[in-house]
Amino acid sequence: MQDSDNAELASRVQAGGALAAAAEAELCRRFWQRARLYGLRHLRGVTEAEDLAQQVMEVTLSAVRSGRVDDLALLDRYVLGVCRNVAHSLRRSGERTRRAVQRLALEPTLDAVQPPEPPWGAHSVERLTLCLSALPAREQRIVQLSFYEWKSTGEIAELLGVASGNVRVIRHRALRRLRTCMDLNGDPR
Amino acid sequence: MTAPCTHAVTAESWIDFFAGDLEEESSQRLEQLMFECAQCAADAERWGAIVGAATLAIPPVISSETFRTLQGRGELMTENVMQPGDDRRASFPEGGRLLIHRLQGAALEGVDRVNLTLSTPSGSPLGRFEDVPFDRECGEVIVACQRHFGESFPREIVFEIERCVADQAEVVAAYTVDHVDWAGA
Repeated sequence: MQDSDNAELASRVQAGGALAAAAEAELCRRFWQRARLYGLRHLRGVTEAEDLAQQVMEVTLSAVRSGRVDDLALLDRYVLGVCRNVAHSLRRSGERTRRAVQRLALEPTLDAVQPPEPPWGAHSVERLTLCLSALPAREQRIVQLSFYEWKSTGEIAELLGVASGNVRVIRHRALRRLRTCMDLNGDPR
Repeated sequence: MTAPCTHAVTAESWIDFFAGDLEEESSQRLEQLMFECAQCAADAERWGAIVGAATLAIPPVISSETFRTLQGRGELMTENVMQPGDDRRASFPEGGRLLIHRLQGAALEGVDRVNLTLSTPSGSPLGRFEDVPFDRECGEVIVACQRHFGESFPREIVFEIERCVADQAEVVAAYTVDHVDWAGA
């Protein structure tokens, strides 16, 4: 199932029967995490990103099942389009839209939409906290301002009295260090 | 056999992408690759996992600005306000992950930077954080104790604030906390 392309998987979902559930699970495995990343980038919060991913998968699977995706070979682009629409709607009207999107999912698929395990396992946040505390003070602060406070590079530069280019360089270095630290603590892949 | 990825997206580009630092056109190109190229998606996932964890990870020593952000997020936490020389038992809130020690009353006017050291009551060193955020006016350093720290630290910890002016470092305040929720010795 993992070697099948998206169009093949989507066709199995449309056909129904014994293979449909496994095909849906595989599509979720492929696209849930990407939708979550899209949400993280645009909605700036893990909970919001996971909500978006859940909704995107529900809408996508519903559309595939009922034959509403014109070209299954372009399913990846379709999912990206759904991400954009759902993120846009979520930003505009919050809870009201969430309920509307849920109504679009003609058949609830919550059982099929199982989020995959994060790359460093269930304790990523605890592990990252320890890795973060091992960073030099300035790197730690820039990571925190960038992704906890969600401040822009310009705002961080002003706050710390350094050039924007330096903020970016320090952030690159800090994230590389964090990744190495996370990998050293045991990489399941 | 899967064809090798030829898109060559650098780590820096992914980091800039998640930090919202790319031009709209470049950002959209990466989004597209994230959905259409499996290797690019795998790379994005690794960097995205770090960013995702960073949105939730709270460093052990936080600024007053971060403390206000935590309050604004409705984070469940116990606040433990202390003065120099205090020796106190403190516990986490039920169902919450944070115990905030507000170490106040240190003379921090005119300092260049501040360090925080951790040791046991008998003087064995446990850790040291250099150049930590502090509030100059209130003379305050804020420690965000988290439940999982109990796996690495004993219950009783002495926090010492060290003021640094030029090359001279001097301990100006000490506070002792017994973390009653931790199982450590």
